[in-house]
Amino acid sequence: MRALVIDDSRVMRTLLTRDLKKVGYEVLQAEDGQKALDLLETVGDDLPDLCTIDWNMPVMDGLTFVQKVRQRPEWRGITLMMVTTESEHNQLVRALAAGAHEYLMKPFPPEAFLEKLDILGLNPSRSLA
Amino acid sequence: MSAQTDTQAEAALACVELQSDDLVAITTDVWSCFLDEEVYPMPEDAAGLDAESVLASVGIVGAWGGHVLLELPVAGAEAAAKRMLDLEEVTALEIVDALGELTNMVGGNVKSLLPPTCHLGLPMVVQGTVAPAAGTDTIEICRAFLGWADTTVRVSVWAKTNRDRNGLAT
Repeated sequence: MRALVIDDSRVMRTLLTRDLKKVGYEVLQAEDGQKALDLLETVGDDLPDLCTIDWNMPVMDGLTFVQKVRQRPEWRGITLMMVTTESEHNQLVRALAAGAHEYLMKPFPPEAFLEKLDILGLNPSRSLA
Repeated sequence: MSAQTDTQAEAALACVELQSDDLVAITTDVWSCFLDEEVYPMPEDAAGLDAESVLASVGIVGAWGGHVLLELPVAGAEAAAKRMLDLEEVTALEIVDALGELTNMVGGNVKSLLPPTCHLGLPMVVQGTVAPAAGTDTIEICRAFLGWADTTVRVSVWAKTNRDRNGLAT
């Protein structure tokens, strides 16, 4: 499985990449929504199964990225998970309405991220078990 | 605190009910999740934050304006970055990234306690001496000191007063 981690924080990209690799993902990274869109345009059929998306990023924020991805029918198979400090209910609703599948609020304990993958059926280590 | 500053503080506090305990709870949560370490409240006079520190700030705009500031001694900031990234050594850039993200998380959770609708900015991190933002258009409305791994973490929330350094409306 492939994942694309989108976050302007290199620390968060590192931590999420580490967690995803532990359960068997091949991981790509982008530091903002625009770079992530550019990357999706270049990978052809090798689209990621999962994108983790920060909300507040320079250039293009996570919500705009979700909206842009949802405008492209050929990308509808990508699961979109917001991973963000935006913790208000209305922000969660906006993200889900835009097309995000899951929403994980920071800070979160390490196991919470894996639980979200389980919920989405996107934990390769569970599939192999 | 002068009468004018008192008035500014009252105005800044009027729309928020943020307590030191809130900052302690939020910071404890962040440290527990991302550094797998406990932090504990400590008295201000035991904080010892007079050395050069790393200061990380994230702005909040919207219905409420101000910023959240996280301060650690340089050695503490380095320890936090090492712990967060699980590395033996960290670069200056990794310290900046780690402190920025910790501040982002604290700021985001502070924002959830503020009036809707507010927006979080992007974190900024600098190294320098601890200097409250005196003489600017912000005033400290809440702070907490926490102990962690032989170091101190100071978390504070600063509200915009819409006053310049001369006390004039901006």
